[in-house]
Amino acid sequence: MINFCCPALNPTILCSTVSTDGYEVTNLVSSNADEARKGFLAYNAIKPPVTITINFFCSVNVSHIILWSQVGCQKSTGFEIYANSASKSKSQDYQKAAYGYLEGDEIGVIFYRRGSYHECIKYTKQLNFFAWKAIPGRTCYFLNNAVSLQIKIIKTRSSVPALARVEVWGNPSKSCDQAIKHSVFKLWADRSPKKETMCCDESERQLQTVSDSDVEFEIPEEFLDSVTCTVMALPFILPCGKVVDQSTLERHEQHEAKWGRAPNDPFTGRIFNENHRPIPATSLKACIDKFLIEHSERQELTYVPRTTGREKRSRVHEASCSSVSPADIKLSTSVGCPTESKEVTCLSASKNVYQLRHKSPKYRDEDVTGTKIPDVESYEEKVDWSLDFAVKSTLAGLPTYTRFNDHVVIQQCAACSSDSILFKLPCKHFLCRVCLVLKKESKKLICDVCKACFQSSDPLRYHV
Amino acid sequence: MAATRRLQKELADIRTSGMKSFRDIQVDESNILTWQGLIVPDNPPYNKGAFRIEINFPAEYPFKPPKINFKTKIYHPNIDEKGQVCLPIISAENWKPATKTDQVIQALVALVNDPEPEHPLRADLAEEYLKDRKKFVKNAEEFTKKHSEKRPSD
Repeated sequence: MINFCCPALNPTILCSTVSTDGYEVTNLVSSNADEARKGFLAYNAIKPPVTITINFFCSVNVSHIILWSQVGCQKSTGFEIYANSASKSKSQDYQKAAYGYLEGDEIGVIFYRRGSYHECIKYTKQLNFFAWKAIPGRTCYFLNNAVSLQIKIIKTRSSVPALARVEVWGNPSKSCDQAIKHSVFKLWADRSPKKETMCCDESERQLQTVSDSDVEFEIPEEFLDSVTCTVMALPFILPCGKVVDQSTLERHEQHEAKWGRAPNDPFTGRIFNENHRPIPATSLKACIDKFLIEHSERQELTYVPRTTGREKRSRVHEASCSSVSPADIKLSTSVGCPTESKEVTCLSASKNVYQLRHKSPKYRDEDVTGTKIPDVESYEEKVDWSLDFAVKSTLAGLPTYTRFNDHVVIQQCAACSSDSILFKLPCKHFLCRVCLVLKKESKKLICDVCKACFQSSDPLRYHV
Repeated sequence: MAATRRLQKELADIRTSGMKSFRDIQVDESNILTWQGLIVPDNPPYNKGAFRIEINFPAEYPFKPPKINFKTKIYHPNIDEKGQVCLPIISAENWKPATKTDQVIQALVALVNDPEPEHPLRADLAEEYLKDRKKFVKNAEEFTKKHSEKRPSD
């Protein structure tokens, strides 16, 4: 089965009303993961009903339609589905196919055909938070050959009409040309697989790869403290050649101090001195940091004390996590900014890490969880952006007591260059009080700069 | 807990290495700090039975030593009636965090096989061991038959 709202299949989408900036209706079929993640929000003064029209690549035998109805706190709670089988769409050609209302905490609605119930029931394992609505049989013809669909938002929960995501699953209808069918299947097969998780077979496959990577995931032995077997945060090489973490050394020292013994090697017991002491293992530290950044989302590594940041989860990946509600995503991205900038400091502190990352492009392909490590350029841009953002947001949060004046240039009298008491002329030039009085007495009310005349009532007192 | 990871690794290592003298290791999944196992000595008079021990690891492990207790009664100069054992390698004073549990068990098995009457916990048995070895061996064998657990077949 194919999701005809997949950007690879070039659906066109229209909305009957204006939308909030950045939450355009085209987000719903956008191939840009960022946009796709945002979803659609109508302009905040708009009330239901809002009609969203989707035109498909070919006529579609619709099996089921999945709507995610929540964008942030905005939630639509009632939908109607209209279908049209004529290629030239007029509004009166649309036939009402189904409607459904959400209750309680349901995050969306699944409209299904009776025949395809078993296909969609598989979703309930992952997504039990959907309202299930059967599409009545009498609308069969339109849904067997739907060229376009209308989704009408008819009710909201005291919010702006919102739609986070749409998926229309089905097959090319029987009336389609073989060539068209063929190209549809080809487009579907060629699409970037990470963008769709809703296909049942595929989500199963993805689950499998995740569990496979779990098996494969192993922390390299050399990153483990040889005393505590935990990942080291600050590795030190002992005189005996073993590597332990600084915290281990400290604890060992404490325990030894209880017996009145000087700091010594936990393995040999030899007391440390000038020539015989633990040395920071900087290159190992760099490798560990790199490893930690790349696998920061791993449960096994969350206990490790951090001297590094965590890699921000790729947005593509986030967008593909269909079970994550948009609110969660927002949270994670907003949290992402400061940690990302933290990562930068770490990178600049140990440049090795950065160079390693730079040198090994294979890591991009190898990534276990399917998160995509961004290209270096875009990564740098991202870093720049996140720094700018962090600075701006920090500055914006501070109270300011100064007015930002665009013309900070110190104004002065055009005649005598003094800046004591200034008056502004209609020609926007300045004169001080003394010169103005002189001019008035001599009855030559002319600006010295542009030679424009003015009335004695024109000059206005200029306050700095 | 710092001890967990190290203990998981040690347990896995011991289980894969298949020690002959320490078998049947049982660890409660909810509490990896307590291990039970069967000591299987090779030397007479203890080679007629097996002895259940319990190893208790402190939460501060490996910075503090584990404690070993005999759950099976044993007629031994270095192990008292309560099952406490005097093992220098796990005394708080001598303990090194780098010491592995399998080393501790090896030391324990060696002590069971060859008692050290010079540092006894039970002076009466130590004296008997030094002065009348035949009587000691006879008593120990009888005691072992009476109290010890069955040795694993292989």
